[in-house]
Order: sequence, then structure tokens, then C-alpha cells
Amino acid sequence: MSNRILFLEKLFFALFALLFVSIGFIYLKFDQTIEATSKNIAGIEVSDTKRVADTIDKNIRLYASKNLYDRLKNSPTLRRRLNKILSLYINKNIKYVYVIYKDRMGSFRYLLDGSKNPKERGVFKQKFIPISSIWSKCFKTEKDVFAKQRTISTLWITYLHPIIADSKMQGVLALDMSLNAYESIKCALNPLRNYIAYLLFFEVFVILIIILQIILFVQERRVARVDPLTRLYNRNYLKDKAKNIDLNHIYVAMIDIDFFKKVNDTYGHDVGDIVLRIIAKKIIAYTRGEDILIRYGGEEFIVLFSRTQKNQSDESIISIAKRVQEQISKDPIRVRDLRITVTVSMGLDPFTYKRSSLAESISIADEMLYLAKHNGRNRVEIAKS
Amino acid sequence: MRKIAAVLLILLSFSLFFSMPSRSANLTLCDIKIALISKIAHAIVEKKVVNVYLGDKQFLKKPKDEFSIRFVKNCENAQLVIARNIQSIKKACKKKFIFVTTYNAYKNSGFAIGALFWQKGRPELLFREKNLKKMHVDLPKSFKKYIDY
Repeated sequence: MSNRILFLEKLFFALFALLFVSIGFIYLKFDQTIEATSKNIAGIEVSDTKRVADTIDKNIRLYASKNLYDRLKNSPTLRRRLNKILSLYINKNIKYVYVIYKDRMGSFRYLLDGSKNPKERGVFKQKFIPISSIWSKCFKTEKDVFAKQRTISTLWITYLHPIIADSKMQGVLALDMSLNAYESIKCALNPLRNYIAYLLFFEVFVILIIILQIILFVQERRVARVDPLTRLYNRNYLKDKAKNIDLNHIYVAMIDIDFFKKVNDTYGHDVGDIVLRIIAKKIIAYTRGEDILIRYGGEEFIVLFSRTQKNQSDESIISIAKRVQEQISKDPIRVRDLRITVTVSMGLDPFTYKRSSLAESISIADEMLYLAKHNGRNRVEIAKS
Repeated sequence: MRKIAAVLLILLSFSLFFSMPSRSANLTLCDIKIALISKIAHAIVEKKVVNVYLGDKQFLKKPKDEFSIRFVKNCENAQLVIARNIQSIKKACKKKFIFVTTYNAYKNSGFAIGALFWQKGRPELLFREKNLKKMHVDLPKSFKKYIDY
């Protein structure tokens, strides 16, 4: 049952991770998708615009087959007529249609402009300042050129078509395509992008909650594993530790304060608590930094002596255990005006590495403790094998 | 294993969050216009801060003292005057550097040194060569392409 729950938990975690990564990936790729889609649509739009440009070119040459500039210069009526024709091609996709020529000084100037709005309309011979290099390219190559507008926020693509008559460049017909088509693609896809963004934010939110939960869990676990009186680890810690402890690297000792009930009965529980705290501190002081002290029960402690080297002699641990027991008995405890002599009994299992589990080693140390009590207390009893 | 996966997931979430395409605010049209006016002002007036009088309120609705230009209320205190047409400028200011904001005003008046206007979504900038010479203005090289002969 627990295995099945563990499997489901892992599966849920993996699915969540997969979902998160895939949504993030889709979101990051979204702009590229819009760009790719608009590129495809741009291709279609450009080929349509090319057809329009060819038609306009034919129309212009119908009225002025050669010397376009001279014809227009001398005939304002023709200019008006051709401007009107150009204006017929303006629609929701093509925003501006106009013709530019290059004067003798190399400056670009308007010849015709189909814009209906007088503010937008370029006047005949008005200087035109191109932003991109496609204009020069079109005049130079005498071929159709188009480019995406990067500096003008209202335009998408500018399409240029050379007007050639009698093998002479008469001017360049320009068609500015509006952003309508591009915007409509973006508008169509934007709700989806927003949906994915919300989903992503929700997932980030969930992850933040998980982080918060982990922090709270770690804090709670720390509280649950520490004894509030002595600030030592308690049984919960030992229970967790037992799961992944390497028996080859420890020795187990069990310590019990002798006649502790008498201390409580004689001086009261307040003094008893202080004695417990002081004994805990003393054991810490007489053991090594790497040894772990646990409050196992009322006045019972477990020391997990660290076995740093495999060939470490058992004698060194026995001498540390004896030092703890002797030092505690030598040095009376001062509580307020009282001097209380306290002794401890200890059971040591120096063969933990031979045991099948930590519980077994604790049980043997406990037996040794019982023996120490039986043999007169204030002593260390060591398991023989 | 699960701990490593969790840490990776958290790192990934943060990296995704921070690598999201930034949607920084673009410059507004107003900012672009002020920047352009500043470029023009500093191209024709050799001063650290150029006083500009804005006669055409429609051209720039929210003038801000930025890019080393200061908008003044009286055209007499300005070095550069921006107006919709010449008629709207006080007589005392007609000898200053005048920029108009429509092509018609530029074409029909000999006073304006240049024009700045928007056409087909593009900013159009023109300097009248005759007036530049008359007012002894030598434009920087980068402005030469805007000179209208």
C-alpha cells in the first residue's frame, strides 16, 4: 500500500515537473511562433502586393509611357488623375501608395502620392528621406524589393517596385503595408499566450508555496527532534537517524543518573530539571564533538560514539566512556546554595558494528546498564561480544 | 533524488521567470519628438541648453525639459521657435531660427530654416539650404542628407 502511495507521489511529482517545463517552453517559444506565422503570412501578402504593384505600374505607364517626371511636372491634371488612381489601391492592408524619383543631386523626391489625407500626402517634388537602405537598393538593382519596417510602429512591410520605361528608371512605386494583418495574427494568438502566462505564474506560485511548506516542515522537524529541557536530540531524532545510520561507524552507550528519583524527592522537580540540564552539558563536555548525545527517556541518555576509523581500538571508546562516568561523580553539581553529588551508570556496547540493527545495539547497551546498576551503580559495564 | 529534482525544478522556475521576454516600455511618440527637437536645436545652436518656444501645441502635447532643451513660454527668450506656420509667430521672433511643423508652411514661407513633421508614420526633417547660409548655420555632417536644395 505504502509502495503504491510512494509510486503515485513520484508520478505526480514527475508529471508536475513535466507540465511546468513544457508550459515554460511553450511560453518562451510563443513569440517565435508568432514571428514564424507572420513570416508565412508576410510571404502571401507580399506576393499579393507584387500583383497590385504590377497593375499600378501598367496603369501609370498607360498615362505616361516615358519621361514620367517631365509629364507630371508639366501637367498638374495628370498628377491629380494618377494620384486618384493610386488612392484606389489603398485598403486595410495597403496603407500608402506613392511614387518616388531620384533627382540629379541624388535626393529622393515625391512624384505621386495616393494618400487621401492631405497631411499624409507627399507633394510633387517634396524631398523624401528614406529610413532604410532598400530605396537605394531598388534604384540600383532595378528589381522589386521589400523589407519589414523596424522603425515605424504603424507599418509592417514596405514593398518597392521599379517603374521602368524605355530601359530608363522612371521612379519607384512604394506600397506600405499596414500592421493590420500582423496585428490580427497577434490578437488571435494573444489570449492563448495570456492563458499560458497565467498558468506559468500559477505554477510558480505553487512552487513558492511548496518552498514555504518545505521551510516550515524543516522548522517543525527541528522542533520535534529536540528535547526542550536539555536542548539535546530526543527519541524522534534517534528514530529518523536509525533509518540511515551505518553501524560500522558508531558505538552505543546508555547512561542513567543514579538515584535521580531521590534528587527530585529531596530538592524538588525544579532542581531535578537543573540537574538534568547540567548532566547533559557535562556529558557533552567530556565526549567528542562528533559524538551524538540523545535524551532517551526521563534520566536516561544515549551516546552514539563516533567510530571514525574502522581499525579504531575499542579501548579508546571504553576510556572515553569511563572518563565521562568518573568526571561526573568527581565534580558535585552546584544548584543555588546546594552541592549535589550525582553519579551515573553506563552500559556500553563496543561491538555495534557486529549488530544487525541499532535497536539491537541499544538493547545490549541497556542490558549492560542494568548490570552496572545491579553491580552497585557509578560504573561502566561493557558488553563482551 | 527527489531533493535534487525539486532543487532543479525551483532553479528552472526562476530561470524561466527571469528569461521571459521583457516587455519594456517603448519610447512614446512624445519622447521621440522631444529627442528630435533636441537634436535639431543642438545642430543649429551652439549652446549647452537651448531654449525652445513651442508655438504648435498640437505637435507636442506634453513638452518636457529633457535632452538639454528648455521649453520657454515667450518666443523672445527662445533660440529656436517651433510653429505651425509663420503667421502665428510674433514679429519680434521672426528673425530667430524657425522650424515649421507642416510641409505646406515650409514650402510657402521663406522664413523657416526647416521643417519637422510626420508623414506616413515617418518623421520628416528638412533644412532649407538658402536660410542655413543666410543665418550662418553649418550643420554637422550627419544632418547633410536633410538639406533641401
